[in-house]
Amino acid sequence: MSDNNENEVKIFDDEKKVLLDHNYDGIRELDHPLPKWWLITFAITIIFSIPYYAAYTFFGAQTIDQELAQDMKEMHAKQAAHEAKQGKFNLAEYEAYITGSKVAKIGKKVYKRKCKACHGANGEGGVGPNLTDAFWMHGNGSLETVYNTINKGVVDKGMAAWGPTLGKEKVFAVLKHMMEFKGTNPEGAKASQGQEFN
Amino acid sequence: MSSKEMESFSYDDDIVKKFAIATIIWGAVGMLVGVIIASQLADWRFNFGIEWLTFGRLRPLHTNAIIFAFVGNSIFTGIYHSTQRLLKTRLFSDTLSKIHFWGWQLIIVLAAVTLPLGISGSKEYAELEWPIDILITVIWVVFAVNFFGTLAKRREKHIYVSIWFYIASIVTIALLHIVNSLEIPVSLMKSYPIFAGVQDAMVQWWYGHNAVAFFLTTPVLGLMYYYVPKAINRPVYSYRLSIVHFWSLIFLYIWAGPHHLLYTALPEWAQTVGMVFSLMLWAPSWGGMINGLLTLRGAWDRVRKEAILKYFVTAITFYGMSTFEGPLLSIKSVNSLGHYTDWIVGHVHGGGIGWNYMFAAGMLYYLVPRLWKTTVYSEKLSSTQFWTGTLGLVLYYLSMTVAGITQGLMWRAIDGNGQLVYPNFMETVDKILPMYWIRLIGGLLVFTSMLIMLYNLFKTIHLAKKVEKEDVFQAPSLDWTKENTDKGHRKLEGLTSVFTVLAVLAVLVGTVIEFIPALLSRDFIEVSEKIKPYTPLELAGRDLYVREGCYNCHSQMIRPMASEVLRYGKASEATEFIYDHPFQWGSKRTGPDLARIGGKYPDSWHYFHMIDPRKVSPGSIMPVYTWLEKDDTEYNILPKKLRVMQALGVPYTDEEVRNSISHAKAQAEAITRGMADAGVSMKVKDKQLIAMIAYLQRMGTDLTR
Ligand code: HEC
Ligand code: HEC
Repeated sequence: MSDNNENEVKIFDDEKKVLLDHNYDGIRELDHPLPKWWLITFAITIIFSIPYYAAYTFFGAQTIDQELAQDMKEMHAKQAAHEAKQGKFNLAEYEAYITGSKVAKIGKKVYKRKCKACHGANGEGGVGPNLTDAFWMHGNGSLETVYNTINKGVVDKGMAAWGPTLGKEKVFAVLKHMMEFKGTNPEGAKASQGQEFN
Repeated sequence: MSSKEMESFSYDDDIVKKFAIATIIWGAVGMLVGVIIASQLADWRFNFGIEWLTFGRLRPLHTNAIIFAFVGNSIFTGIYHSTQRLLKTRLFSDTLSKIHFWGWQLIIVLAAVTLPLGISGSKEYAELEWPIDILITVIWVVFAVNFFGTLAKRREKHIYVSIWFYIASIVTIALLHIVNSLEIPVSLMKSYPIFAGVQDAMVQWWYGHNAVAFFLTTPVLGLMYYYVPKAINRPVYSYRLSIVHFWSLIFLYIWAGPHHLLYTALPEWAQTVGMVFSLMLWAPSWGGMINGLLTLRGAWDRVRKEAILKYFVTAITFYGMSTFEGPLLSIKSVNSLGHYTDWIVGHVHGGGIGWNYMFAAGMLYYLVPRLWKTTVYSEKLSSTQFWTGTLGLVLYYLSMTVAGITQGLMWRAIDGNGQLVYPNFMETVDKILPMYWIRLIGGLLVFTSMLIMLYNLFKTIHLAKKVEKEDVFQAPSLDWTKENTDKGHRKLEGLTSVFTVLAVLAVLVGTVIEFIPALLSRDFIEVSEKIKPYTPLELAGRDLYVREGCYNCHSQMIRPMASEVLRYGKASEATEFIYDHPFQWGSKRTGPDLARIGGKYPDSWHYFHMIDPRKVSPGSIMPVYTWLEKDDTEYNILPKKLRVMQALGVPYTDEEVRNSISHAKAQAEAITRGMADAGVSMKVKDKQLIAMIAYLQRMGTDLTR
């Protein structure tokens, strides 16, 4: 009947008692019972699913939206705490800090490592804007507004918030370094962007 | 046998040979396209700046070619071969078989032409436009008639478990395809689906998930039940397990679609349904694996020696792995990490390469020598193929899983100050680029293994002697007048129409329960007054977004999770998509989410970004879209498009339809004028790029304005 009866189907002795009389093109079937561990797994997934579904759909387990609202509240609190701790620019603190002897070195190093790639070795600009001119997109070029930009970044446009990664002192140092670019008009300076402030 | 008269018959193996050859050829083509798109993600220059070859257009070609051309032809090969033998009869009609074969190849060729041209409906694995959808329906009906006609004239009273799986697959695929393709034509090669937004998403992923289930899984399980016992000459482990896992599998599978939409704007109860049914699917899926692997008892020493068995064992093992990973990824917390990442890409290739390719290879090595009455050209090559393919598969799977988890963790990383640790999306792309190269190597190895099979089997066929005559077999005809004394499931196996009806009912239960509230209830989603239809120009831009397949790299769905809100803005709401025919939520974020891209950048940013993404976004892997700046916006078709939208319930007034062309032109002019400062010339005002900008700038702004 079958066109490829090349070999006989091999049946072990212990299988003879569960061998069925089915024969499909030479294929035989045993009737082993369902493996226990398999049945238990199946049962567990069902037993878990019903109350899980009921809890979320009928009995007021926390919904995704409630969870989000709670998480966002937490985020905002953290952001506010951070702001309070280091966001506010304090001129006196800055001026006291930059008198330190190592500040120039730190500022230079941080700039080279973290800012140069986008703003150029001498602040001439690249992916990021020119930092040597009197034009600013964010704030008016005052120490305070520039500090805020560095601290919070312009996340949408590809500049990270540096405050959290650098910490207040390094931001002071790099701000000091950056402020020295002002008016230098280096080679390859990028066209000005933003508004002019004098 | 009995005293009954013996009848003589032969099998139509010619059609099986045709499908087998088509399987081999399309498998190689589909994998080649896969290798191309893998290279495009590793280095954008492999898009070659040619519109027909960009990632967004080729990725649908790859998925369609693998699913419908490669696996499709392979299941037709196996179904036509095994069904005749399991039912002891020739196929119902040689003519229908031929129409089926040539019709299916025509569909594939049409897909290979239209998808690169950007003719696409954008619904994943159902991108083909309406005339091809109709052709698919016709050919599928031909297949069904041929199959059920064969069942009707069978000489074997009871149907074997393979046939159960074939029946369930054939009827369910018909249902899925028809419902997901309900659309209204705008022109010969453009249509809008009748569902929008959340409903469209739900129908699409009911389809998408069950295409995996009833095209890539259940028919292949049917094939497994035939070819594995045949290849090793061992009885199937448990008939009882076959019954239980068959019915539970088809009943449960259909519900699980919403696991593709966890944390989206789909109502939460439907998401929870998707999750729990996916969990319950684990055991029924493993039922198939157990029956496959335990059938190998006493034959394991042969697995080391015989390539065919290596393929089968690997296939079944990967089936088991994928069907474990699937439920795992459906658990909400795991899904929140894995969704939109390459982890999912790894998962589908574990199934696609591990299960489907490996199984098809085993089956072809079993079939080709037998069909052509010869021996395989080189056992050694077939073993080399196996190890090459397996190595490629492992590299692919591991690199994508690592890439996905890495990127998922980076997206969600928030520091102690409530800020994203990696706010720049490109940082998370740069990190996984090495993985994209490893994946490319993995893909190349799998493709190479496919080419080895192509060579080895074509050599086998070429060297075979021509067989002119079909073998003749004998079997008694069935005596339908005899009283049916079977009981329980055995009785059902003799009553194929009742069996088929029950299978249809099994898949209808989940479908109906999920769809009735979604499609009929008015308060399935909350609708906001603030949401307005797109302007004609924005609609034109949206159709370009669909044409270019931007959804292959960008989602439009901000999930309600803190990290997403910090990165992209307010979480997306169901109401925002009510005029989206089709929805564009996407399923993979190779680039950032775009749901609230509107207003984020100035128009000129988009202008330069689309022409050369690297100009404004260093290191980007997005392709260039220079042709959008050269080709004109098609204004003339706008009234027709708006009219179809009107018919679908989008509230455009007749006046808006009438004025659509002048309105679009005016909006385009205003946008272009606004970019004059940035150096954009007024000459481009009627170019497609302007329509695209109009759409991008509108996106996600209604609610937040
Ligand atoms: C990944 C690139 C990148 C890096 C690295 C980077 N920036 Fe920026 N930066 C930008 C971009 C882009 C802008 C402009 C944002 C905009 O378009 O609003 C910018 C803007 C600025 C501004 C505001 C300029 C203005 O006109 O208001 C300052 C100040 C600044 N960066 C300082 C820094 C400092 C200091 C560092 C190093 C700690 C740094 N940036 C590192 C990309 C970068
Ligand atoms: C190969 C994948 C890919 C395709 C296809 C693709 N993009 Fe992108 N897209 C990216 C990546 C990666 C980025 C992030 C880097 C960048 O800004 O270019 C991106 C960024 C973007 C952005 C900026 C998002 C933001 O918030 O900064 C927009 C807008 C955009 N793409 C639009 C499109 C449109 C429209 C299409 C279709 C015509 C498209 N993309 C096709 C990968 C892709």
